Amino acid sequence: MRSGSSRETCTWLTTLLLFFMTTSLIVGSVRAQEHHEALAKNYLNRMLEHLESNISLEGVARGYEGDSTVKATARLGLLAGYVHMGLKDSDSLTMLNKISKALNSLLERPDEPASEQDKLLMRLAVLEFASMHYGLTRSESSQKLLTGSCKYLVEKFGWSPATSCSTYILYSEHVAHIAGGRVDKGNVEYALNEIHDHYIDFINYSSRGGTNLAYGLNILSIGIRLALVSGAKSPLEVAAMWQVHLNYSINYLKESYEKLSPDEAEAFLNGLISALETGLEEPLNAEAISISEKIASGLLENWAAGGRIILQKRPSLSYLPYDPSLDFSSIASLAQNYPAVRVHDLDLPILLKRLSKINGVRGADRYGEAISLAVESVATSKPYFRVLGDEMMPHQDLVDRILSARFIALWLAFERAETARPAELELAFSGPSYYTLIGCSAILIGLLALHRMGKLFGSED
Amino acid sequence: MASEPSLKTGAFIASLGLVVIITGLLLQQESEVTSFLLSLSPTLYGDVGPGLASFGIGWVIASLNPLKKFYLITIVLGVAAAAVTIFLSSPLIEMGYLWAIAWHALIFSVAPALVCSGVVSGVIVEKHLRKHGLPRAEVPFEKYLLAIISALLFLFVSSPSALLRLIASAIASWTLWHIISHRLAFHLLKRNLEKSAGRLKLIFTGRVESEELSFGRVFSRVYYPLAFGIGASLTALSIVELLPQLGELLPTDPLAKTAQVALIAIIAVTMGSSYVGPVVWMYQDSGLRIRDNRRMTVEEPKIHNLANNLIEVYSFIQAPISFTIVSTGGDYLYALALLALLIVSVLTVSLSATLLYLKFSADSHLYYLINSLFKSGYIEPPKPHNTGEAGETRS
Repeated sequence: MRSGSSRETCTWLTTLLLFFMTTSLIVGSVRAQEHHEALAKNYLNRMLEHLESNISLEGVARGYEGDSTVKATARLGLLAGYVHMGLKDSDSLTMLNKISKALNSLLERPDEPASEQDKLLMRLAVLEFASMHYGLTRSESSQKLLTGSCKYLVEKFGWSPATSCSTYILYSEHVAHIAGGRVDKGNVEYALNEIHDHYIDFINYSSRGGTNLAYGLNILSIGIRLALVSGAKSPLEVAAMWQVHLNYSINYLKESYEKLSPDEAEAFLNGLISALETGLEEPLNAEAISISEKIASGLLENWAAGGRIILQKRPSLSYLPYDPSLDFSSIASLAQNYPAVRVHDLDLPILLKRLSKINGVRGADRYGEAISLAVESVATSKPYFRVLGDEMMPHQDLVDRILSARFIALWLAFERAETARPAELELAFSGPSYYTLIGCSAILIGLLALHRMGKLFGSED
Repeated sequence: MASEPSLKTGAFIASLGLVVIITGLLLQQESEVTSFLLSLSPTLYGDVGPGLASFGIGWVIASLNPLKKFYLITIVLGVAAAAVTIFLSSPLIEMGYLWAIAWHALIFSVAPALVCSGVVSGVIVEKHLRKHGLPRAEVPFEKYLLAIISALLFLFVSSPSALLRLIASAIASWTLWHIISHRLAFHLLKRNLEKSAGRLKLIFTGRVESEELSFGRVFSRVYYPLAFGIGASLTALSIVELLPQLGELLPTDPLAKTAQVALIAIIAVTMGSSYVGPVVWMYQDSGLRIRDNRRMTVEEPKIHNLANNLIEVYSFIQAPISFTIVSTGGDYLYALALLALLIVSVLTVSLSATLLYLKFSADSHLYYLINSLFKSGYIEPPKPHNTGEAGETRS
């Protein structure tokens, strides 16, 4: 008798243990996620406070003069864009729209920069802001700014994937997509047709190899993914170009993986992940995954040590244009004197976050650790996280804020996208109300409970 | 004879529903109503109105011949309303406003209201029968209705490959049950008796219950493989997720994850539930009792407690809810939708396999079990005065 009852106790205890295990799992995982999200949102709120104190009532950047005011307003607008992408609240939207309005009125009476190069710098800053703002808010004025600025670039430098309107339109739609908004089918079709019309220029650009090839693959992959998402028609030639790019990139990486600089490796990783994110069944997918994981592991080796992100050398030219106070000549002389700058690489964790979501990836755990480390390091830094390790620019804090806010915003956006309801489900639950469903379910569950308790049909049950 | 479910009540509720629909439509046409009333109008004509009307119509159908279980037709109509609507169209952005409202009303108002009306009238009829001690009528169409419900569930699956997988799993489950569950039931009993060294003794009461295919019987049986499939697979998964090396086995997208879990649960139904499904049913129907000579109790043969606990409330309620909430990051509406998806896909397999088993295997298995126990000398034919009920305790 004793053995029987002790066995029964044992099984009950096991059941209880399983019960607590699943309960602790749910509580633990929800809490850890909420903790990180709260930290990240706090960080972006601090950035919003910074914007409030550095933007005038009209929405113009304070403390800058001449044409650098336009650049500074556009850069602060970019920061506001990232803050809004991450927070998605009305305060950040108000700030973003205020800056956009101010930028438009500033550009109506621009203090024209003296040199053509400085004009280019200004246009680039405006273009980057306009793509972000148009993607997030679909504002018509930003759409005009976007097309005006990219047309200027094409006029000055000719058509290439780096200057073309198609790239910036796709970038803008990409922003809309990752921020959880709707992708505009017409815009995607327009951009893909433009690439189709300039396919020789496109191939000329990519065939220079290296980061050009990676960049080309990235743009084409984003275009194809957005076409699939929005139902836009993608020209057959563009799809073929994408396949050729993927094929070439994989072959190129197989041959010269060892020789890649960290910068190039990251560019290719970005391109390959974008290609995999299209979700198309490709015979090359398995190879693309294994190469991506190889690159990711290689980059991860030198990314952090002892729970800290390591400073790495990167070309300073990638960061200098973000400081609005620098004109072209100062950028040129700084780039000459300091060709490399030491930075905390925040692009890698975002790439890892995207990579870990792809089916068939093996190292997702290690990537998860790196991502958590990056989020914690950045989000707990006060007043902001220093991305750049060397002091070399007068307004370096703005550069740090933009780059760190970009990381946090993208992380939050991807985190949100992971648990977002699919569009079909969203539509399925868009009815006027569900009183009948709730009422009937309550009645049925009540009857079921009574039945299980044996009270529905009396003691006979 | 009790007055419910009566034609009058049904007609009254149905006309009330119609009045609500018309009021809602009129409110929308009216230009001088307050914004609150205007916002109320879609609820009236798109949710509450159709719900009441369908409940009334269901009640009317049930009242046409309550003793012949016409309420079952109401239930089947409810399932059909949702399944056919989902099968024929998915919610598209291009759908016109009125069609979108009709789509929602058919799935979220008409279907639950019909099922609810059928179940409530069924409960009333059953209570009435029990109260007056009336015999239950044989209803020849009941088994066809069961087959229709089972087929309708397959309509919820849109992709052909998933459909094929579900049908294959249902057939595989039944085949497996058909081949092994009677042997397993016999083997488990034999092992228990031998291990007890004379402490336990098997009694045959002679009250073998034949499996009639009725709604109540089938659904109370389906519960076992369904709950076991969901409970066992989710429990295993929570353990897997606690191990960091194995944690990333599943995709992170909640919908893909649920689909994967549903598949694992279906495999669990297929592979494991012959133990908790057919074996339990055979023990319940065989009229066998185990007498414990030391504890002086007589009870039905049971399966292992842990398996039993797995099919209890813990697994069926807590595990799926916690799973869906974790994977959707606390989005409760999404979690609820995924939970419904999980249960419907596992139920589809579990119901078809159970129906097939009850129709084609149950009787021969019972015969096999009792016959084998006779032959091995574990039971003797029941004595006329011993019904096995004396001193019976159920745990």
